[in-house]
Amino acid sequence: MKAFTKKEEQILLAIYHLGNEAYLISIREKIKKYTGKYYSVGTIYAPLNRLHVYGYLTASVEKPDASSGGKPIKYYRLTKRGYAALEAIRKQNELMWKGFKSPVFED
Amino acid sequence: MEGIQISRVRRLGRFMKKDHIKLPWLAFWLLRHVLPRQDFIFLNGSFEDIYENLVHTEGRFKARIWIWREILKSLPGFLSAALYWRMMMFRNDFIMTLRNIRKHSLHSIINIAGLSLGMAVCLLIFLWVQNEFGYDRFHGNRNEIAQVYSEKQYSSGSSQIFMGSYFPLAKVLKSECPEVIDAVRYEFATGLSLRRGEKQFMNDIVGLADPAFFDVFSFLFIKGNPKTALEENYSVVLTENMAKKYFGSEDPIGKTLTLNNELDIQVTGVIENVPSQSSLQFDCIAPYLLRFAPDFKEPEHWGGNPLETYILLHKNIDHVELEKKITSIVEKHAQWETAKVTFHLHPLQKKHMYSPQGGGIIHSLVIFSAVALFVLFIACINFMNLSTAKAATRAKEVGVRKVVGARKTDLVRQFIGESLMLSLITLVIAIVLLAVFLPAFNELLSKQLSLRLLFKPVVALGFLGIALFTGALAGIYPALYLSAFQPRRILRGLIKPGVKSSMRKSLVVVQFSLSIIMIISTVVVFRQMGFVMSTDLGFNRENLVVLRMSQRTQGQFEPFRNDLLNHPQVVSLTRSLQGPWHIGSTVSAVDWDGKAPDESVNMHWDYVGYDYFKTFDMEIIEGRAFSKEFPTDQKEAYIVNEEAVKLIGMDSPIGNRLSVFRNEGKIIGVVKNFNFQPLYHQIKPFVFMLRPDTGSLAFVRIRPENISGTLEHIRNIFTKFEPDSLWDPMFFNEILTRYIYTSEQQTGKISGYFTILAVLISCLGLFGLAAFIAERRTKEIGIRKVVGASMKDVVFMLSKEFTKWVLLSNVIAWPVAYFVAQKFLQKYAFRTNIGPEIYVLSGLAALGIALLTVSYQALKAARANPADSLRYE
Repeated sequence: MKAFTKKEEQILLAIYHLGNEAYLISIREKIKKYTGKYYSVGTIYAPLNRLHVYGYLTASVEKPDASSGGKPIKYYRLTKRGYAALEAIRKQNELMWKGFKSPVFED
Repeated sequence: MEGIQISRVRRLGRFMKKDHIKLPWLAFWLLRHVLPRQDFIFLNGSFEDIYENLVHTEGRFKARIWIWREILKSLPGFLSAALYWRMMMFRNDFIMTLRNIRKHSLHSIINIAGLSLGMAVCLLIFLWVQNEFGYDRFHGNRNEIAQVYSEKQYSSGSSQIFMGSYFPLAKVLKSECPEVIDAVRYEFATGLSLRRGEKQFMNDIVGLADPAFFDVFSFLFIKGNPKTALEENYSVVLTENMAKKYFGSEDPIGKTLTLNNELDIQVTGVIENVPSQSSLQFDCIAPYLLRFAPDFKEPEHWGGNPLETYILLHKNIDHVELEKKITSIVEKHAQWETAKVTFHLHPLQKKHMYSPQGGGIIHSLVIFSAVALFVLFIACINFMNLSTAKAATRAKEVGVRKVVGARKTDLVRQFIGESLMLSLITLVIAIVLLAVFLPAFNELLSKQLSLRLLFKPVVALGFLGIALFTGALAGIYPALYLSAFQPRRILRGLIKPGVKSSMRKSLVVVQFSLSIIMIISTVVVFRQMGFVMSTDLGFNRENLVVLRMSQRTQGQFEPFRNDLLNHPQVVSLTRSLQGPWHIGSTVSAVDWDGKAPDESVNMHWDYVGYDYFKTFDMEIIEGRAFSKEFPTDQKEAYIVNEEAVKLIGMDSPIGNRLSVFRNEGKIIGVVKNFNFQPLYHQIKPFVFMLRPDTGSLAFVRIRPENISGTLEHIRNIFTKFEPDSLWDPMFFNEILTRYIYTSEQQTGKISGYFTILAVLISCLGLFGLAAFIAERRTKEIGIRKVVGASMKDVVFMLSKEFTKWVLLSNVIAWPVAYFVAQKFLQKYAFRTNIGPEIYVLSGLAALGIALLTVSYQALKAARANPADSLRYE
């Protein structure tokens, strides 16, 4: 399993939390809600695209209707591989965070 | 007021109806070109959404700023996404290429060997062409300089072009043509000696030029003043090398050199060495007037002389108009009696490439560029054929790629990319080959091309261009062919691609046609050369030694002659002004009884010494040769050739009056026609005059026995008379090959080498194809052998197809080769007979070579044990 970057991790998690409503703009908003960081469209797009091509995500295109203002939207969903990746990331993180305790600073 | 309101309403109306706002067009365009096609539409939608919201909430202006910030911030991400996938594809393609090269090693070696040879040839020719086009570029006025030359029309309707000019022409042009800024005469004099004290060198090229020479041409001065360097009559400007040769590290300015042991001239300037890419080549320049030392009285007559006149024009002058003007101005001054003379301009930029007399190096360049491209094309055909032949092995790859979504264009790009990569690898090998070829080529053309030229951007780009062109040329057909497979049929094994291909057959035929054309053309060139060197010129050119005498020996010709004759093997000796390999000087002032007053004629002439006809073995068919028994021969005797007799139109010319150069005399003999010019020209009227005291050429007829001994004798005598001169004797035939038929020699040799390469590359391809076909028919051959075919049958069966192809090539090649041969021979007035046997033999040679190539594979296949081959696949 390849190592994921922080951004990829954030995207995968955002998609997980968004469920059926994950598309580029909503992913960006979600990440902002979690981290306070407002990525540009391009910064999200590149890793998102890569994750999709490597098979962690599937994409489906919603036919344009009135709610989307007449524009097609590409929705992303996690695949089995995507879930496995998140699982692996969590395990790695737990391993790394295990026993973490901030010492008490006296100042 | 009203107008503004209406427009606002309209805009609002449109806004309401459409209900969404488009991105600014530039932003739209940018996204569209940066993003992959499949994602553009979604991203554009997202951007539009945001933009629309912003327009509603924040206003158009803020929205616009926002969208640009967003896009600019996104660009790195978009670009990295796009590049990332490009790089992945490139890596994949690259690995595929290397794998393919390794997997089909025989084919790869054939391809790479053929392509690199073909490319090396092209690079070589490119270097050469590039070099030839670079001549005379260093002159600041290069576009405004032209040489003035003249054309004489005779009443017979023929005309002749003279590059040699007239003494007063430059002065007249400068004073009477406002278009002309400056006009200078230039002449390069050979055979002059320069001396400084004890230091004397022969063979320096002394250029004679008017003082304005350095205003017109840009030769850079290291020392001295270009404006005044040639003002003083007894002055000279040296090149750096000359200055070093005579003065070492001393400052040469103001020092004295002695010209021809009689004139002291002072060095007034030193210029940089003349670039090799200059049409004017000299070691030093002296004032033109030095020619008329010591009284410096210039001749005013309008007779042709071996000097050149160059003019510097104002910008944008119409040459045709000026030519007419010059013609009429000169007509006024010269008062030509009979012949009509028109003047023409030859721009300096064209001087090196074209000759007004026809020909010029441009023809060789065109021919060899074409031939080099042929060789390259033959190599490309190998690549095409072997790639398509091997299609079966790649068809599955194509099928799979297509099934997983590759479009045809993706595959075309992949295959072209492969061949481009291969051609870049080949370029490296070709440059190595070039380094190997270059010295021999330089020697052949007496050029100094070097690989250092690669650092010139033009050359580097040219090389790269040739490599990419090769890659594209070789790759385009296989790419289209391979990418057109239908995956459904391939993957189910319904078709086996690459087995039969009429395209491949025709390409092999093209290959061999080109090779055969080249073989025949080369043979024709060599045949004509052989003819030129062996045909009867009207005199005996074997065992004829030519010596060049300096002024000193010319004055002591009689003792020199007697000393030389004092050897049993020296038959006879004579001298003349010009050598009968190329006598160009003509005389129009000819008169005889019964000549029509308005008839303008033209005779070639030469001053010769006693024994001329004996030494040359020329046949006097009427009258007698010049003889010491008739002292009047020196003044009033003429010997003409048969052509001249025809011109004069007399039945018995002997004893008739003839005046040449307004000197009255009689015809005392008629010599049989002989070739005094290269065989391009018909034999023309000729008149000999006796001048036993002039002429720097000595001709020695020796016996064919013990030539080296005789030469030793001549050398001893020569060095006794000429201690300072270089001993450089030449046989008559040597002069012909070295100086007269140089371009034929070069053409012959270069086309010989190129032909060998073309045949070699064609055979490489054939070898690969034969291997492929033998492999494909392994099973068939096995079965045939089992049921009783002999080895001979199998070899015959395999060779039959190739034989058919090569025979077809012959049929195509012969008419083309015939045309090429006629074109080549056309310039010769005397030419060899090219019979059909040459075509047939060349064709048979090609067939033989082809069969030899194929037979290796055929024998290998035929000898295989059927038990093995039937288990194959």
